[in-house]
Amino acid sequence: MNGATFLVKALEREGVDVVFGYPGGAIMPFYDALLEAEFRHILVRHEQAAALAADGYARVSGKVGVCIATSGPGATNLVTGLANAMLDSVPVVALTGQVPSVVMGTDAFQEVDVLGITLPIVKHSFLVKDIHDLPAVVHEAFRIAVTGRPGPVLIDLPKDIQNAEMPPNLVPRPDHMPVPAPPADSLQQAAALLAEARRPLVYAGGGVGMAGAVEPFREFLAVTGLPVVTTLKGLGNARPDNDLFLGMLGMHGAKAANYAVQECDLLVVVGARFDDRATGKLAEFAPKAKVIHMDIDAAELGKLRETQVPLRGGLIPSLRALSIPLDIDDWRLHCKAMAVEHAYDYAAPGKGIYAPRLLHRLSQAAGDKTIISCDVGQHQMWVAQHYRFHQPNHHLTSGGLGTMGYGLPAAMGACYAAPDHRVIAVSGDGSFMMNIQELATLKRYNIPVKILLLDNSCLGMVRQWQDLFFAGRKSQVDLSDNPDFTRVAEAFGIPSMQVRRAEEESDTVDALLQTEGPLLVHALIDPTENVWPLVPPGANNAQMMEGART
Amino acid sequence: MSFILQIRLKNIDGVLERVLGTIRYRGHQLLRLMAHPTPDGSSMDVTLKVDAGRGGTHLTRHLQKLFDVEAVECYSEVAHARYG
Repeated sequence: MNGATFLVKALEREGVDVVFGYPGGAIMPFYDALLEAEFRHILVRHEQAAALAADGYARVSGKVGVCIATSGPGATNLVTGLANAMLDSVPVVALTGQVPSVVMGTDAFQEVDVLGITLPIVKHSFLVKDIHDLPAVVHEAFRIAVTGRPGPVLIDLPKDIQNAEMPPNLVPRPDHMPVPAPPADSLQQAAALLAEARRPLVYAGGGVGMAGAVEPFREFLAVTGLPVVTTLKGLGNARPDNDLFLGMLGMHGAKAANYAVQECDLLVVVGARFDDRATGKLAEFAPKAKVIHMDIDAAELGKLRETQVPLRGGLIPSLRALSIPLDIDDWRLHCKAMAVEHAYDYAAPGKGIYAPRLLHRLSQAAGDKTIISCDVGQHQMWVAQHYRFHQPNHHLTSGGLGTMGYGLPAAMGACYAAPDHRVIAVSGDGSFMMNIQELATLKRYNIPVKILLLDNSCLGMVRQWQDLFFAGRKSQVDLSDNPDFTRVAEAFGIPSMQVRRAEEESDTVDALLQTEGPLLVHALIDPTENVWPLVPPGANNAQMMEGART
Repeated sequence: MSFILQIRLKNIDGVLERVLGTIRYRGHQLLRLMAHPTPDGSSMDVTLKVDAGRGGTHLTRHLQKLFDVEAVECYSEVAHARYG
């Protein structure tokens, strides 16, 4: 058995059922061994899509996503996807071919120092120099990717290592590291703070879903009766019918959520990291609040905000220990009243499609087996504001890196992770063009991704900021010469339809929910529409701007 | 203001780059570096002096997350001079 064949078998032993990749010279031995693999290989049309599809697969399945590329440009094309997984703590293992060991460091054809290039954007990385190290490296890579705070791991494989003969014995799969429990005395301090607080509030992030703590989190909310806001990645943590869920906080957060944060006297932070998009002006974020912070990652505790009680460890024991009934009826009523007072209004005077209303309608009709994969821009924020998620892993979004081009490949990965779910990619005309080549992958494998393309013929979010903060001086945001997206889709063999009028919103929802196989819905929307509310740069979260809708 | 870090690392490819990159990315300036392998060559002992930046605790926690880092100790410069 050579190294490449061993690698295929090792992936099988790790429970891999699908990988996303693109072949090339330095990874050819692996692709030869792949012909005998028991798992599927999805041939994407750009390596970035392989990494992002692996990311989407991992987020939905809770398993490690695997992507593969050759050396040089293949490896560098993975970089954005790895950084995306790093910023959003997604377990991905990337396998890259490398030139043979004897020519490494000689500027050989398609040689690049991918280990060096990716050092800051992976949780860990390996360069395999000895075939005998390969079994341990593969096991360790999968263990590191999912242990503690998840993240991407890269294995760089010189071609001679893939070809080298190795002993047939496989190393037993090691158990994953246990998750530490938070200290008992810290839990007591946290319970005391909770009991004395008059206006306590939960601020929950993506850590809840990643820790497999959604149900314990919901039980914690049910027992305590705490009002809750979430980050972008935390959407879906709370039950959709929880009337104390106030929405997303932050730059494009719900008004009730942002006001509650500014008024609360205790912030219970669950698997979140005080990201600047969530906090606004940090010095004025939750100014009256003490902080209890639960997180698996010690480096997040006290990183940006002083924490009265840090609870480092698994979320589930902390949530269970702090599930205490609280006497905060006045605060609950106040929060509910704010939610009603500041609820989104879907009336719009124009005759065209109003994207927030369309997404709201989609949310109401989609049910609990629909996954939404977003690109980046205005549409991403509209989804966050107007779609109610049943589970956090039903919402795929590039939160930390903000990767335009994420939505379509991540949706492909989601389809393989949850074939019994409907997967809808919501994109904009800027983002869609960044990985439009993956329409060919949809066609090849008949991957049933529905694409809702909200086309405003510009880079809407940048245009909005130029209007608001750069005196309306528009610079390089015009995309009015976009191709005819329906004809592009048809050329790839993907059915398509175009909508533009408000009365077509209902048909659009029906098409997204009822069509078998892949579909592109090209929705033309108002280029001047903005995302509201908006916390301007340098302001605190109570200082939200709101403009007129068209 | 500065502090001293004493770190034991696995002696493998890229380990020093990883540590130095973390120090730079987390906003600290490297002031002094001394590194040598342990007698059996499997590990490397590194002593670093860095400016205070956002504080030693946060940097130490980030270094502890690196899988090639076996141990990290952080001292203020005065304490290190007294006890180191």
